[in-house]
Amino acid sequence: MIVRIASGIPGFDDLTLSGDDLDLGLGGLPENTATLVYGPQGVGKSIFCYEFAYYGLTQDEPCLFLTTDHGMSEIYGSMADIGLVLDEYLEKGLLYVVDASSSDLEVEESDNYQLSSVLNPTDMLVKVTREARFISQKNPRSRCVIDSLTTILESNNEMLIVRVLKTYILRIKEAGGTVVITYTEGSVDSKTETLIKSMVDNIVKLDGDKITIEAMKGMARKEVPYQITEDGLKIFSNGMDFEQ
Amino acid sequence: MNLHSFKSMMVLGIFDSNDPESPIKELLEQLWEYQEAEAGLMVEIATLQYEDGDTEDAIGFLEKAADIYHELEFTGQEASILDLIGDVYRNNDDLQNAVDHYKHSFKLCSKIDTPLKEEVSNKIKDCEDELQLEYGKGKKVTGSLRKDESKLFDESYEETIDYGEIGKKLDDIVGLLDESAVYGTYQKLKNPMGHLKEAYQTANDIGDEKGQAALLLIMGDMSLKEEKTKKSLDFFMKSLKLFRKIGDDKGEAISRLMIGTAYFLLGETDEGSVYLRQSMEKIHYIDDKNLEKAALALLKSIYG
Repeated sequence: MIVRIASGIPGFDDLTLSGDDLDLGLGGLPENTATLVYGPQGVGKSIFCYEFAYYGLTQDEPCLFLTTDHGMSEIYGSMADIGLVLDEYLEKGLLYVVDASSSDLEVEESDNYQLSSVLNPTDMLVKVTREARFISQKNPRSRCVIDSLTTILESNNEMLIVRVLKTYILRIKEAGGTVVITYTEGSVDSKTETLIKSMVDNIVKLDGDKITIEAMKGMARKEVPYQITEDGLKIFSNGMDFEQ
Repeated sequence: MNLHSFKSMMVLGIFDSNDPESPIKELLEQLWEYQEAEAGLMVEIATLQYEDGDTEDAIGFLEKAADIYHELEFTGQEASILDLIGDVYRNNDDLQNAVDHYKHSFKLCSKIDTPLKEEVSNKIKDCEDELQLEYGKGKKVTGSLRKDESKLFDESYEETIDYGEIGKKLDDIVGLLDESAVYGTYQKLKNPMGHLKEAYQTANDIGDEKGQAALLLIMGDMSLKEEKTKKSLDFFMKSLKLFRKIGDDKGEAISRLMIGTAYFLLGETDEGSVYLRQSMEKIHYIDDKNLEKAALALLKSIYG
């Protein structure tokens, strides 16, 4: 039986209903798996992560967010723009951030906020592992995000980062986490891209118009339209409500 | 507990109890035999790889074999393997690396007084002569020393070394390494050495050699401040090996400074001077003014 957790992305859970009796009519992302969300720039990959992380927080599931592009204040602002206000969850200490973006250097480090650098993959991994272990002691279920893998790949030897990714996924799974990783299509050569895809359990592609479930545990390939609205992503899971 | 501690306990008869043939003793002896056999196999593999022209892997296996012999305290075998690594580097025209390994081998040979000592000593001399020739021909292997710096090395060093001051200078130097800003923060955590070792293990798992080298340097610096000078030297040597492997000149220069200082603190001033001199040459070669300033401050603390 595949246990799925609600994604928090409107329409996504309907899209991922497998129709199998065993999934109890619940769609979402398979629990304790790694999902690669990829596509060109500006197609809503980060929004996918924000909504995924935020929904978990509303269910008291801690979230470990490794950010490489945007500092914490920018993420806070971007989430607030689509109605995802973090204050309550920051206060509850449910959000753990490893900030490797080097853009919020004035923010003080704490148990929930660690600074790192994309140039130091070991440090990123050490801090993520430390936080994941800590989170798993508090809650057996958690959500983890890397937004995005592209920046890490651009700053390091690609094969080194493939090994980092492998270790990251392994450690997060051991800690009971469900992972979403974003990646900008075409940032590395096709061989490395194939290697990255082979390391995750699920692959979701966003191209600005359509969302494609290329691979997911317990379901076949699916493709439907989606839009980026002021409330975030809106996926037209049956294609019916879609307006051009 | 490491192998050395186990061996010490055996020597002290801690495992003897009432049964002279205790199972632990038997198992340990078995383990050492396996490890010795493993090292032997590695040397054989390295030989075949070398014959196939795969020098890098051959050196990798020889280094692993040397590590095993070091752990087993088989000094003679370790010296032979280091001599062999020196030969591989020499045949590859990497004279500086060859000299480094021959010197390490020579040191071990001197400890146990083996006939290999003379042979290695000759190799060191030959390589150093060749290196001098290369300098003479204008082949820029490293930088060179300025007159005032050369004079500094010729002066006798300060007999009473201020450890506190040197420690501070070393911190400044390690801080100049790009990775120090991040890994240096581990020292503020509870059980910093534990965190550094964990990070080193992670770096090793993912093959982040630059991270490994930087962490070894920081661990060495910490050990030195705790006056565990020999241990620190071990960290610095490993760090130097990695920085050389990845071609990181700044890291190499810093490692050599640290090694030189550690040798001084151990009273091995000739060896210390060699490393410090090599470091200064490298610093000039990469033309890093900040590092040069920090290195000169360290040299002044050492030589007075």
